[in-house]
Amino acid sequence: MTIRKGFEESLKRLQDDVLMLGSMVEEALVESVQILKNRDFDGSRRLIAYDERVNEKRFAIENSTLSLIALQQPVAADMRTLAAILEIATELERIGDYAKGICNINLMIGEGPLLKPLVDIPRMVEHARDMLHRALEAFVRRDLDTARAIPKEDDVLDNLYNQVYRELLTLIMADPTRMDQATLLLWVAHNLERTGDRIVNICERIVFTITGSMKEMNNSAQ
Amino acid sequence: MTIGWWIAGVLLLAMIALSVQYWRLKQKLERQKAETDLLQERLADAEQELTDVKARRKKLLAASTQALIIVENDFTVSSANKVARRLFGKPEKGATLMSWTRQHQLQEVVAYTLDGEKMPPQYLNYNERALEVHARAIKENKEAVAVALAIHDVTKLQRLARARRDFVVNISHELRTPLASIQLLTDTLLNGGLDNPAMALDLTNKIAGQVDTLTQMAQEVLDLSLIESGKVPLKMANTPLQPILEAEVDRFTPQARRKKLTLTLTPVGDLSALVDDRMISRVISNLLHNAIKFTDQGGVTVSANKIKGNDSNDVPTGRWVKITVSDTGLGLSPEDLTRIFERFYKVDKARNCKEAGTGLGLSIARHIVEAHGGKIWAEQNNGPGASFHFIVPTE
Repeated sequence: MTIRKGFEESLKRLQDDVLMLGSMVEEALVESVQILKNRDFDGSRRLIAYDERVNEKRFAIENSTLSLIALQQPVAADMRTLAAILEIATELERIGDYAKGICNINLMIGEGPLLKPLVDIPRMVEHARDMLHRALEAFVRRDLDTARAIPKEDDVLDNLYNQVYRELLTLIMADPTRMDQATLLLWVAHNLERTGDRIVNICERIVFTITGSMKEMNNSAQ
Repeated sequence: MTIGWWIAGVLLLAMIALSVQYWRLKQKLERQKAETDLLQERLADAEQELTDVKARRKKLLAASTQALIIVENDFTVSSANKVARRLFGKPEKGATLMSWTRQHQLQEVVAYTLDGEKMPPQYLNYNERALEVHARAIKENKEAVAVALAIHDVTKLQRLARARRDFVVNISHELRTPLASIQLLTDTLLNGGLDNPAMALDLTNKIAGQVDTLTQMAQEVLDLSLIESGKVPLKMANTPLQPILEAEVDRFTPQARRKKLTLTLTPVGDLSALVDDRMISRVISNLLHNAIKFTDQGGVTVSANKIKGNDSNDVPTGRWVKITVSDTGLGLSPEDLTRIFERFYKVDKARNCKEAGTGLGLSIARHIVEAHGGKIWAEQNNGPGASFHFIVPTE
């Protein structure tokens, strides 16, 4: 096997690892909201423990990437791809933390029903999952158009967040005793809104990998 | 002269030796040619056999109702049958399992199997489907070189299992309520109630009412099992619909009146259909029972009209009578619309907890209508409530 071919094989494996981490995080994120909706405390504890595996995977990706950089000393596009993998793995791990955060909130809310049926929060998580799925597809396929289009969809998440914020504020004003739970639910929406920002960061990295120029794509991402 | 003879002799000997050598070589060549022919024949046979095996394998993969995938030890996908392609899309040439399916659980299953671990079936949710994954290592010289994945779609099974669990919970609850009433009523009778004839009569009537409820429940469960096993023969005849509809509407009028609902039958004139009147009454009664149960305001309307099937209106070709029971009740969610005719399925439990029932009525209605060659469906009204339609053949 030539050195180049060996490098390409290793890169392919690393990209598969990034997709795997992405799939783990996507699942955790969707499940965290489902768990909150079902008020499932065992599910929360299980998912909080699962975050350890997400972290392990992120460190494994980091180690493999650093070894590859040290051994192959890549340049130009190859180097940018490896740098992007490091960045994307970090962002994915942070999204995993948001899912864990939602599970913690479910435990903090404790027994009893939710203030209101969850309508916009499940919409937010579905949209975030879809954005993340397509962003990672764009990374593997080096699809510049998709990577540039996804950040624009972050506005949908921001609007849904604002809607949840207003709704919860109205509930608090009507009955201040609901303040505790309303604040916690707001954190759930906030975590999902931040997830959107992380996905925008991932897209910026993808554009950088392909074009070599770094450009902020959405001000709220920072 | 002698030398000349000598030379001629030597030349003759040489010629003889060469001829022998030539003859031997020719023999050898012919032997080798025969051997080559034999080898080529065997090669052709082997190639044919390989083609046959490949064709058979392809047919086998195509005929399977499970998704079958072969993943090499470098995680590239070397084979995926039709079901697998329907599930995850067509894999690109040289695609890895992860880039194709984007399912980390599958990647983990393959990695563990390649490491020699025997995995129990794994379950994963994909696009709102429940999948059961089996993995086996493909070995060469005791080394795992690939992994075969067999994936079953168990969504329906899981739904049925959940529906059955719900059914057991529902039916035990539904049985307990009349049983508790009967127990209370008999206790009252035994503890002095019998001494007062008027009270005894009243209590006995109440017991009879509860027994009716229990009988209806037992009958529904029994009916469904009979209808499903095809043991109920249909006596189809050209039957006028007005009397059947009228009788059912009359039967439910007191119930509707108790809830302050209107129950109207739009006259259907001399409309008739090819039906078993007893069974079709059952369908109408189940639909009316449901409509009244889930309507708190407004009313329920029954109507019927002739309809001709064509491709545009989603009705099978032919001449049909469409019977509609429309209400102004709670209406149905999109999920309810697709699942409401399933056995044991009950709409949103929160709205349903105060309503008794087995969750079998609509399933029975569907079986009866389908046994007539017809079709039953529900739709959300533009205004409040839902409409249930079914079609039965007409002459």
